[in-house]
Amino acid sequence: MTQRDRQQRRFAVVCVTPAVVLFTLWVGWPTVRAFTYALTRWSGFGEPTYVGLRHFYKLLAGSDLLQIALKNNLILMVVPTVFTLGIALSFAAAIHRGVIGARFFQAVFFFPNILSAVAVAVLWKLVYSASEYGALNAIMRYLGRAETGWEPLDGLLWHLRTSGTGIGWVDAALQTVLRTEPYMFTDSRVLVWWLIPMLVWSAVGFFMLLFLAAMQNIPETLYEAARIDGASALRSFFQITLPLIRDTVVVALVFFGMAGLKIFDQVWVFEQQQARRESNTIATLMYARIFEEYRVGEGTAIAVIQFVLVLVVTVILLRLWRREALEY
Amino acid sequence: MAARRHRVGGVGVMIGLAFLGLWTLAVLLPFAWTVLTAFKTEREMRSAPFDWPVALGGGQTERGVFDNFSQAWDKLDFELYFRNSVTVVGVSLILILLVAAPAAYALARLKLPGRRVLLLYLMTGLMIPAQLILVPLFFQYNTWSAWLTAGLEGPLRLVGYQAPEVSLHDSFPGLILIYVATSLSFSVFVLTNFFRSLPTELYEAGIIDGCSEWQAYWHVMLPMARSGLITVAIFNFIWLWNEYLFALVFIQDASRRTLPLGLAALSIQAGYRSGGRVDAGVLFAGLVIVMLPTLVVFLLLQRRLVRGITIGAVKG
Repeated sequence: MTQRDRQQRRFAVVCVTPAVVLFTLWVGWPTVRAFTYALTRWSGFGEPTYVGLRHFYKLLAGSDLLQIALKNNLILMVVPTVFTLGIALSFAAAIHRGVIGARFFQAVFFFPNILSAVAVAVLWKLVYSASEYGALNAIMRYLGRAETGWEPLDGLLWHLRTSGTGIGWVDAALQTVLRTEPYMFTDSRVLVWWLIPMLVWSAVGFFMLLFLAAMQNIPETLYEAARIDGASALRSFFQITLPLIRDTVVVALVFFGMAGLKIFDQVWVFEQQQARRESNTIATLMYARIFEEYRVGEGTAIAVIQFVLVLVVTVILLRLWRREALEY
Repeated sequence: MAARRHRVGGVGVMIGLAFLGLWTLAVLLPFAWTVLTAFKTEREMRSAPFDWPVALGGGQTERGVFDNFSQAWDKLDFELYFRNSVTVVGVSLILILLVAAPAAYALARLKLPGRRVLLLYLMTGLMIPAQLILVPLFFQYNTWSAWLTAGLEGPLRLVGYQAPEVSLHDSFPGLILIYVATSLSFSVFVLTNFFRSLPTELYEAGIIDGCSEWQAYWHVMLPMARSGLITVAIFNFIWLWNEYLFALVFIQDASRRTLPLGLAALSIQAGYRSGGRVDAGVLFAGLVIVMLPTLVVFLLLQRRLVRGITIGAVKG
């Protein structure tokens, strides 16, 4: 080993050490500890008691708390994804295929994405708000005749529920949908559905950027060839664009899966920083278990389940979609 | 894009444009509404939710134009929260760059046994959710705080000081260290790729000219990596400026709240019903205060931001 190699190695060690130490103490070690916490019962004070896998049994089979949370997470993973992907893909395709003003639309649509989840949630809560200044409420007041509250919507839904439209199958569908009484976002049972427009609203820009970047890498000759063969624009999209940006779509799905599994801020703001049984996600359930009920072991077990789900979802998505790579 | 794009005919473009226009409205209107409402009195908000604020129309008002803002800023401590956020995020960003850049440089360019394993180890952080380490970290801080207090006691007593109670809980250093550590994986990941893409000639020349490794890094390689550093700083800024969960858990004292904590607290005080303890207009003003720095950063650095994302997307 030359003098210079030795110098270089010494310098490299100095460079790497702070990062590795910091990462180990603040991320690596807590990760390991999380798995051991999950096997104990502990209030945060005194000595923890070892209980093995009991928390996991209880959470997965013994109560429906985690099930409700998982259902909410699943809704928040799937529904916004479908809408966002659909909208973002069509916008990206429209811009890619020649709609002008790409830079402007990219910038405007992207902005909500970099705002804090708290600010977005506060904003949408004000949009939804049932007081006179709530934007949706005010719009409905302009459209309807009622004086205050969500009465225009209330009245419309009540009317549909009771007298129906006169068309048999429509009424049957309405009965099914509207039979469940609550629909306001202030009701925890339906909160997740109210979060969906907000999540789509803030995510579309980011995914449009991703898709557009991928589309711009597709050689133009492919489209020329398709056009000469008489393919319609729609067909070019499904036969050329979509298959060739599949990798990016997978990345987007992974992003969404992660976000849906980890969502906390928005629910927490909408629920006034309180955990509610019906609107809990995995993250809020965990938070409440630990910091409100001091059940540290059980809460950490929830976090471990979440971590495993994150891994599983990622691996499944990558496996399902990366079966064959397309070259162009 | 070298190739000329094949353009779809008129109707398709018009339909596309129409939908893009609608979405533009859907994005911009809530912001416009928020900003305008922030200038209204509570009475005005209720009676004329979509009208132009009287205060901005030059008409006679019973109070100042920026009343809601000054209330949020002074009385509701948004000034303090703002300063806290700037401090926490600023110090975090500096530390992140100071720690991540040399590590990334060494892992990308220097001869170091086991560097692939080390890189892989640091990358595992990309998969670990904040929620998983939240709780162990919380209790770890109890232990570490006790150690720190005990460790400082002896030396301080020697020089005649009363040993203070040191705590990483509810303190900026505690929160900042969490932010730095949890940002490392992403930052090292991006910067490693960046250092790898730099040419080697200048480094070689520097070494031949008698630079030490440190000088070659600090005076030659680091300046070349500037745009990578800026990209990392921007993305970390956005993440940290908006961070809520760690702050919620690790900050208790109202005087140490960051902006997201302050905004969330204000939104609960104001509530969505009338008769909240705080004028609802103040909440709108608070919202504007929180969003403004992000908007400024966005307007200044938008192109770089977009490029950062699209490069990442293409690399997959």
